[in-house]
Amino acid sequence: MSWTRGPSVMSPRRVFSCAFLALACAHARAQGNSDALTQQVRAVFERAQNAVVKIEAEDDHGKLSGTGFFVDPTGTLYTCYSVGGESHDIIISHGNMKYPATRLAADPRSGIAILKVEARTPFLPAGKSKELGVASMIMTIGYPMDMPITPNFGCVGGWNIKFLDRYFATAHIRANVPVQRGEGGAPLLNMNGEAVGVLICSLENGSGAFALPIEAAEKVRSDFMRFGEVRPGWLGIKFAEAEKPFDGSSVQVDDFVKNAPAEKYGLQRGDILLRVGDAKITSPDDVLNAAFYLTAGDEVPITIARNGEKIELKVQPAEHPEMAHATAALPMPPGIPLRMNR
Amino acid sequence: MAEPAPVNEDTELVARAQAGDPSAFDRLVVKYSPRLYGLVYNMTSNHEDTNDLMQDIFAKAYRSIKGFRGKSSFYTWIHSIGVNMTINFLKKRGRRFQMSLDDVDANIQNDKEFIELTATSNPVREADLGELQQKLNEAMMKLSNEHRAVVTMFDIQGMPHAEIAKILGISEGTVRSRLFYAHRQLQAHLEEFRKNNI
Amino acid sequence: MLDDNELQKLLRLKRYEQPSPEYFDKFLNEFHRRQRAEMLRRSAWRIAWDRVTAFFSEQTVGSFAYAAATALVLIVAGITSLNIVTSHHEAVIAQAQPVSAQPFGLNTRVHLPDFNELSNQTAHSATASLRPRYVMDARPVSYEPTSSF
Repeated sequence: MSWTRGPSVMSPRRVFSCAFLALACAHARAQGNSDALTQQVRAVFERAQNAVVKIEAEDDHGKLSGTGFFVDPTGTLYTCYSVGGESHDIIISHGNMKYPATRLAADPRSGIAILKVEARTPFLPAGKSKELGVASMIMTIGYPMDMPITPNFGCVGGWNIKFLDRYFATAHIRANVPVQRGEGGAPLLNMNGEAVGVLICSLENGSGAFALPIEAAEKVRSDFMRFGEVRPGWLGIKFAEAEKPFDGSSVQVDDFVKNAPAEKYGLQRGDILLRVGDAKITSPDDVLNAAFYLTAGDEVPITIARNGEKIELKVQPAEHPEMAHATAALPMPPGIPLRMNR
Repeated sequence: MAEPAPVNEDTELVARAQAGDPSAFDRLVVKYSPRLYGLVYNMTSNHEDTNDLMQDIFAKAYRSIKGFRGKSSFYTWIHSIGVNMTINFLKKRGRRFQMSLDDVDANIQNDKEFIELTATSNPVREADLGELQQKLNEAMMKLSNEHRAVVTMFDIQGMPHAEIAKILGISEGTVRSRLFYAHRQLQAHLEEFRKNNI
Repeated sequence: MLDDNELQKLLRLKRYEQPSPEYFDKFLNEFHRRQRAEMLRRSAWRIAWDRVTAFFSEQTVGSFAYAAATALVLIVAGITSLNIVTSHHEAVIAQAQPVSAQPFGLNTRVHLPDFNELSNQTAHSATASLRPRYVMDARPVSYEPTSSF
C-alpha cells in the first residue's frame, strides 16, 4: 500500500509541520556542527596547551612577558625575537614549575628566537604550513597579559610577503585570530594540533596577526645546529616581469649582481624562473619567499625556461653580502647553558 | 698579615668559567690548544687522532671545570687530562705509525739549534737531518706510551721534571729514570740508522 | 753514537712540527659545534635513561630482578633514545612531568637546576618590581633591505 495515497495537495498544517521539522533538523545539524567544532577546538587546546609556556625575561627596556612553545622533548623552544632575542634572565613557566632558559639562536631577520631549558618536555609536532589555504581553520594558544593560558580560534586570511609596503624576510601567514599583548611567540596551530607558525606581530590592534611559517623557524634552527649561525644563501639575480609568461610564471632573469653565483652556474638573462628548490614560482613574491630557504653552500635545484624549453640547473648559493654581516653583528648566543652551582 | 698572592690570568679565567662565562673558557682553549697539540701529536704521531683527542680533552675539561678546586694550576690540570686521555687512547689503538706533518713550521730555519746542526760546508747535511728527524719519529713510536710521554714533555716541550711529575702523578725520580731509559732507547735506534748511512 | 746533547737538540726541533695557524682558528669553532651537538645528544640519552629507571622504580622488585633487568634496561634505553632522536614529528604530546627528583633506583646522579632557589628569587623580584611589558609587536623586528635575491 502506497503511503502517498491521499490528497495530492498538502494541507497548511502539514506544510507547517514539514517546515518546522526541516528547520528543527537544520538547527540540530548546525548545533551538532557547532558542538563538533567546539569539541575539536577544545581537543586541540587540551592536547597542545602543555607544550605552551609563559616566558618572562628582562631586556634593555625592562621586564617583559611573552609566550613560547616546546618543539622537541629535550626542552628546545621557539618564541619571537622581541621576547627571546636580546633578553636575559629568561624564566619559563610551565604549570607550577619554573625553568631557567638559555638562548641558542636568535634571528632578527625572520623574527624568531630559539631557547633551551634543561628538562624533559612535551612538545608540539611541526605541521606543514603549505597545507593551509585561505579560510583554513587555525588556533593559537598563549598567555595574554597576566592571564592564564588561553586559546584563540580563527582562520587563515592569506599569505603576505610584505606589510605596509615593506618586505618580510619570507612570506608570513596572515591569521585572522584575535591576539593580545603577551602572546608574542605563541604557536599557530592547525586543527590537528600541529604547530604551523610562530606569532610574530599583530595586525590592526590585535584583530589579526602575522605568523612566521614553522618551516622558516626550522630553517633557522637547522642552520644554527650546522653552523652556529643563520646562513642566508644568495644567488645575485635581479628579476623583472616576463613579457611572455611561461607555465604560469612571469618572473624573468633581468640581470645579475657582480659575482653572482647564479650566473656562474649557468643562468642567463631572459631565463624564466619556474622553480627554486621545491617552491613553484609564479610571481616575484614567490621568489623572495623561496630565497629565505636558501643556505649558503647548499646546492639548490632551479628550473628555468629558456627558448621554450625547461632546463634544470644546480646552483650553489653564496653568502648574502649584506645579510651575512647583519646576522654576524648579533651577539653570539651563549649556546652552552652555564648556570653552574658553585 | 700575608699579602694575597697575585691572581694570575688563568685563575681569573677559571673563576669566570666556573661562574658561567663561556668566553672565559674559550680564552683558555685558545691559550692552551697549541701547547696541548704539541704534546698529543708527539705522542700519537697522527694529525686526525690528535685533532679528535684535542676536542675530547677540552670537552672533558669543560665538563669537569666546576670540580676544579685550584689545588694545582690549570696548566698542570689540563696537561694531566691531556696526557691521560692520550695514553688511554694509545692503549686502545695499539701501535700505528704514520708520517709526521709535512708542513714543519717555517720558523725552524731561525732556530739556533737547527742552524748549528745543519751548519756545515757539506750540502748533504740538511737532507740527512730531514731523514734523521724521520728516523727519530720512528724511534719515538717504538717507545712505550709512558716513556714517549716523558720525552715529549721534557725534551720537546721543555717542561721541568717537577711539573712532569705532578702531571703524571709520579715522583721526580721516576721521571728522571724514565727519561734516562728513553734516551738510551732512542740513541740505540738512531745509531743503527747512522751506521747504515755513513 | 749520538750524544745526549745532540739527541736533545734533535728532539727540541720537533716543536716546529705544528699545524698551520688556520687550524687553531678553526679549532674553537669546531669545539663549539661539538658542544652544541653534545647538548642535544646528552639530553635525549638522559630522557631515555630516566624513563627506564622511573619504570623500574615504580615496581616493587627485588635485587635479583634488578640484576636480571639491567641488560634489558640498557637495550631498551638505547632503542628508546634512538626513537626520541629520530621520530621528532610523530611523537605524541606527552604529559607534562616536572623535572623534580624521582628516585632513581640505580643511584644515578643527575644534575638538575635548583628550582626552589629559582622560584624564590623570581617570586621576590616579581613582587618588588613593576608589571612587565607584555609583548605582541605591532610590526616585525626588521624588514628586508633589498628585493634582490
